[in-house]
Amino acid sequence: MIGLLLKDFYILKQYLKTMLLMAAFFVLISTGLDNPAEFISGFIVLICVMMTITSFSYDALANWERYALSMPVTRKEIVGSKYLLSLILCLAGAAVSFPVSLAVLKMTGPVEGFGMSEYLYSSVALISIAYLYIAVLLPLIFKFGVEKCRLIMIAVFAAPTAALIALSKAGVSMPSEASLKAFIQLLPALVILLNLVSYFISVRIFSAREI
Amino acid sequence: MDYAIEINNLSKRFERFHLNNVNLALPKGSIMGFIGENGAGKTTTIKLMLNLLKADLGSIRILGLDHVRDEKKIKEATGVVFDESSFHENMKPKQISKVLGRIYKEWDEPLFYEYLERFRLPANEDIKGFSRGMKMKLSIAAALSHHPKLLILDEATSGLDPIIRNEILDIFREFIQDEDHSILFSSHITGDLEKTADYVAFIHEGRILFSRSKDELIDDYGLLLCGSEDFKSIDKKDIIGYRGNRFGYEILIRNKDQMKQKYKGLTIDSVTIEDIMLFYVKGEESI
Repeated sequence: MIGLLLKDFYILKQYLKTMLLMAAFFVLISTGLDNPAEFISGFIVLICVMMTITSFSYDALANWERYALSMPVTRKEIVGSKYLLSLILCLAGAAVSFPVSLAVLKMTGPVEGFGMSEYLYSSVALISIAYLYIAVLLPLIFKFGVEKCRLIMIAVFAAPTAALIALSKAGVSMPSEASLKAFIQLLPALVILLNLVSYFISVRIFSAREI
Repeated sequence: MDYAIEINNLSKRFERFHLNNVNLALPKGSIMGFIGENGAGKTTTIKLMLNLLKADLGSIRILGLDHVRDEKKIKEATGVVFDESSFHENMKPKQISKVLGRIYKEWDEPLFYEYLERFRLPANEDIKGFSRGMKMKLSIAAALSHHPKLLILDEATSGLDPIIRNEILDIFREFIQDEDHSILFSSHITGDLEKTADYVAFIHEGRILFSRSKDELIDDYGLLLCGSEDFKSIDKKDIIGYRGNRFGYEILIRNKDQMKQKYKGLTIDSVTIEDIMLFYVKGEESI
C-alpha cells in the first residue's frame, strides 16, 4: 500500500509544481476580490480533487493496473491507496489554504460579516464537499475507468448547482444561518462515513472487474 | 515431476472469443515458448494465470500453489513482463526501485542497479525519454530484481531489434541456470523460441494444439516436398497442412521417420517452429 502511495506522489510531483504555480497566480487575483479567503480555500480544494483524478489518468496511460496486480498487490490495496491519497490531498489542501487565506485576509483587511468563525465554517464546508465528490467519483472511476468518467464528472459537479437553482426557483427559502452552521458541524463526520461506504462499494466493483 | 505452471481444463468465454479447455504444464527448471498468432489466446491465458481475469472453468497452479488462494505468495515469487512497459513516463528508474522496494518483500536494490548498469539505463532520468528497447530492458530488470522463481513474459521481445533481443535472451538463459527457475515466454517471434525454449506450447483459436518438448517436436514433424502428381497419391490423413503452387507442394507431416519409409521416393525436409505454426494456421491454402 505504501508503495502505491509513493508511486502516486512521484507521478504527481510535476503536476503539483504546476498547480502550485497556478495557485500562486490565483492568490494574486484573489486579493482584488471581495472575499479572498473563501475563494482561496475553494480553488485549493478543487485542485486536490483534480489531483486524485489525475493520478487515475496517469495510471490508465501507463497501463499500470494490470502491472500492479501482477505484483504482490491486492485489489483492495489499490482501492485503499486511492482513498488514502484523496484524504491526504484534501487534508494537505486544507493545511495549505488555511495560513494562505489568513495571510491574504490580513493584507486586504477584514471582510464585512465574514469573521474568523464564518471563515472556519466555510472552509470546513468546502473541504467536506470536495471529499464528498471523492466519495461519489471514485466508485464511478473504478467501475467505468477514468476516461469514460469525464462526462459523468461534469454531471456530478453540475448537479448540486442545478439542484440549488431549481430549489430557489421553486421558492424554497435558504435555511437559517443557525441550522446551516449546525449542518456544517455534522458535515465532516457525515462525509467521512460516506467515504467509508464508498470505499467498500469500490472494493466490490474493482474486485469484480476484469483487467 | 515438479511443475512451475500447471493449467487444467481452463476455459473462458468472451463475446467474440473462447478460450477452450486449455491444458499446459511447465516443468520446473525449463523455458516454455508459448506461441500462436495475435489473438490466439496467449495474453488471455496469461491474464487468467495472474488472476486479472476470472476463469469460467478449470484450475491453475503456479509454483505448486493455487492461483487465487495463494495469489500474494505466488506474486512475490513471480516476475512479469508485459508487451508494453507499465511504468509512468514521468517516473525515474531510481523512483521505481523505491516503489517496488515497498511492494516486494525480497526487493534487491543493489541487484536492480546492477541490471541498470548492465543495460546501460540511466537511473535518474525520466522514462519518457527511453526508447522501446530501453523500456523493455527496464521492465525486465524490475521483473528480475526481487529474486523470482518464475518469469512470465508476454511478448516481451516483440518490436525490439535483434541485438537487444539477443541481449535479453542471454539474461533468460542465465536466469534458467538455477534449476529452481522457470520461464513462460509468449511470443510470435518463433526464432527466439527456437534458440531458447525447452518446451513449446502452441495455441490457435483458443485451443492448445500441442504442448511438448521442442526437440521432440522438431524430430517428429517434417516437410514433405512433391509435385502435383505425387500429391494426389498422398494419404489425406497424413496431411496436417499444405501449401501448393504450380511447381509443387509442401506438406506438413508427422512421424517423419515413418513417413520416410512410406513415401520412399519423396524428399522430407526438417521443419522450424515457424513452419509448424504457419502450416497449422495458414495451411491448406494454395498460394
